Amino acid sequence: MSDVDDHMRQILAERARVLARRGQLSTREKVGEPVAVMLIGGEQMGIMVSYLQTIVRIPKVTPVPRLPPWMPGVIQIRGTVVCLVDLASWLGLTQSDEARYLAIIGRENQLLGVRVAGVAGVREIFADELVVRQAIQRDASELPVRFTTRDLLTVLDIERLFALVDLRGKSEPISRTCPGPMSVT
Amino acid sequence: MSVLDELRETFRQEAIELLNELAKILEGLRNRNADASALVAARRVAHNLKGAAITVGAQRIAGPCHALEDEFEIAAKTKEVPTADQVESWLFLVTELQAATDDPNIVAICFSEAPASKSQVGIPASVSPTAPMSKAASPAECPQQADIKSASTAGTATGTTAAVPVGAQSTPTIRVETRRLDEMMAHVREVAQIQVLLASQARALQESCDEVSVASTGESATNDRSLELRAAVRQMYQDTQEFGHLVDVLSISINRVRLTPLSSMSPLWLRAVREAANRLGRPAQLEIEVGEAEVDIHLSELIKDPLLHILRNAVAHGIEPAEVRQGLGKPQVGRIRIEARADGSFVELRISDDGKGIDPKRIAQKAVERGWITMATADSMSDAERRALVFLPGFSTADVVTTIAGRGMGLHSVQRNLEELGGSVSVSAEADLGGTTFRLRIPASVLGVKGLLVRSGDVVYALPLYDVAQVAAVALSDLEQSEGQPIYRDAAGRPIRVRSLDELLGRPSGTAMAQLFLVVLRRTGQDLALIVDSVIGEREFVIRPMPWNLATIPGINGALILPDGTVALSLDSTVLLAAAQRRRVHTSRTSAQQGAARRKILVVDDSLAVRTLESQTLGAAGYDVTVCVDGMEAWQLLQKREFDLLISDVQMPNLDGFELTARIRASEPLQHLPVILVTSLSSPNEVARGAQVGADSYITKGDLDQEKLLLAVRRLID
Repeated sequence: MSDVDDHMRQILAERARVLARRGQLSTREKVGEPVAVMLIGGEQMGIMVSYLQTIVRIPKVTPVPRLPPWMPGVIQIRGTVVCLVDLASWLGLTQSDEARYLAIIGRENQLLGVRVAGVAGVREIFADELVVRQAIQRDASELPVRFTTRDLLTVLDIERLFALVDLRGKSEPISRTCPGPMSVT
Repeated sequence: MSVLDELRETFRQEAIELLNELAKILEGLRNRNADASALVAARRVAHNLKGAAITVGAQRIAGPCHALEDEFEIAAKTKEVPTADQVESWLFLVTELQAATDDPNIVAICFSEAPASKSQVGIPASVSPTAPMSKAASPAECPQQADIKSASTAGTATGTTAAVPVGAQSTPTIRVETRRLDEMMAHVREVAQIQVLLASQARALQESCDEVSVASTGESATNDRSLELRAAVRQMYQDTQEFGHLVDVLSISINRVRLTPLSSMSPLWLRAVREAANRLGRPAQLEIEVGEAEVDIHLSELIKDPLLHILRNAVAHGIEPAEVRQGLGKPQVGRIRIEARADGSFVELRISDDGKGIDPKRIAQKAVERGWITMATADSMSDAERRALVFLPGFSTADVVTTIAGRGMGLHSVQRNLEELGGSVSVSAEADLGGTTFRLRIPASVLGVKGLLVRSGDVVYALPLYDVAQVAAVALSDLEQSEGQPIYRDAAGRPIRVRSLDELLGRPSGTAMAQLFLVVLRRTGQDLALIVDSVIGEREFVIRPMPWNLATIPGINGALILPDGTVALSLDSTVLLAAAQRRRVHTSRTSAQQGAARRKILVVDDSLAVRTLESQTLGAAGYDVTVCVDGMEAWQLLQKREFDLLISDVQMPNLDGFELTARIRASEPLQHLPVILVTSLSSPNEVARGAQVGADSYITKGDLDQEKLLLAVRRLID
């Protein structure tokens, strides 16, 4: 058998392995829809693409009284006033000064702006990638996190995030029940 | 179109709707799709139409309706399905009435004195298909036409309204759902937003062109091109300005479509006074002088109940019984008057009566008896402030009703409803007719408001112009001190308390400047001078909703977009005034009780380290500090009512900080006590809950340092 034959045999064997691997890949279980990978506080965080409305440069932010430090204020996007959330600050991460973008996420008629440093791309998440991960300096129940992957992508739970940032009074409007102003120092 | 014409047209539209409803019911009976119970509904509709016709003086329509009502009632009593002939005769009459109401001219001649009998009714003499109504009602054959032409106008609670311009030209109208107008307005807002951005970009482009021109090489061709470019950009800028003007015109036009004359509510007012007067046996006559004032159709619905409430109150608690009035030398029939005048983007309504009036001193006395204010506070109040006490929730009691004319009954809800609309209500110092005068200010439109833009720190705020009484630049040294609070005296010498806007909003306040800008807010007899960094000026703007999750931030009721695209915050002056007033009441109480004694602070925390840090910090700053370890112990100590401030942990055994704060706010003697929550909880829900239970400030333990703690304390009690 010639060297050429050996070489061809090796190539074919490699191709067979690749094809076999492709077959395995196609049977892997996807978890939910694809996520847009955002750079937030030096970490990669995923936002399901169906929630992502747009990404814009951060315009001038108007601070709003009585908000926690991780809610820097409000901006307007095409005439709609939107509240901003600084997830890095909330999660105790170090936000890069280069976090000059906003990922505008929305559900129904509710919008929220999440401060991000950039977008790394869009990817699928597979079940065999998931790992259990301890919460970042916080009680897990307070975190808007769905899960984390082996390569340290934290996929955000957007529904939970919307619930956590909802400052409206549970029973009746705060403006009518709070007799005086309140500050968060 | 005159007020009377408006009234007729309003009635005509209502009649069309009611007759359509009646026809539908009768069709159901004719087609055997309904049983005898439908007659009850038919009777109700006929009754409603009759009532509306009587109210506006359309006696010739009221007559047939009355006959129909009788027939339906008799038929309903038999509990049998009416015969086909009966139903046909009713439908015939309804159809004739529909034909009449389709024509404004025929409706017009129906406004006349009530006929003596059914046979004199210009439209069908009886409920009979053999007496065609349209023929009988035609202007040419109407026997009373000449009289109608010369009839005079009256508009009192006693009643009749006439004056019929037969053959008056009517402008074709269409009915449009307000929802559609709202949609149009939303589109106009979007266009306006684009216009603002275009104007901004055009301006930037023009500036760039100018810079390029300056740096040009001097070559002729380049210069020509540069000039062309500059001219084009200048033209574009002018076009965007014109575009903006057209958007404004369009916006105003749509706003106008939404306006409805206040006079269209006259029948309701007349009826309310008439009913109250009859029921209570206190004769009263309502005079309506609203001219051509108009309000947004949405607002006219929302102000309906508050107005009726005040009118009924005027009869029930203002106008004295006839025999009392006679003894006082007053006419037996009491007078109530509604006047309206347009005031910029507002309509001011004055509702006056010639009854017994309100005594400010007795109101203040009642508030002292109830423990809401101290005697010292009552003595320091102006009459306007005392009168404003009638709007406090729960002020009205049976005792109050008998001793101070019952004012205050439900007035809190009237005030709240109007304030939610951006309006206000107050008791005027001048009683127009000698009794009481309520002054209502209602925005004419819900869509655009005028405001004063101010800057404080790095934020631009908008204050409603109707609440701004004065803007002043004063030297810090010009302010006086009273009970440890700075006081500004206006041109009339009235003392007005001064607060920093930032402090009231819970934001860090800037360094005190020698020169201060003050914006004096005035609403329902209360004054407050706000310190701001600068005053930008007046603007007309559209208030946009705050983001969905920030809809209930105290003191912020909306946002507006500035020409540069940034967001300014619209302030709720009611909340600012209430916050300042609350602290004033508490300060005055404690001052009265303790004189110049050191401020006493109760610190409650189950952590020894936190208790120690807080008590040492506060003690070193000169405060008299008491410490305890759980909420229940704090609650018991507070019953001594000797503390000026509570600093509380949230998570504690027995009674947590939220519950403790809620108890304090619900307790009459303690409700004004300032509360600072110090906690490790900083999630939005915890912050929101803190605000909801009534905490004044919220400090997270991670951020707790001596300076921040003292700043928060001083902001509240020094």
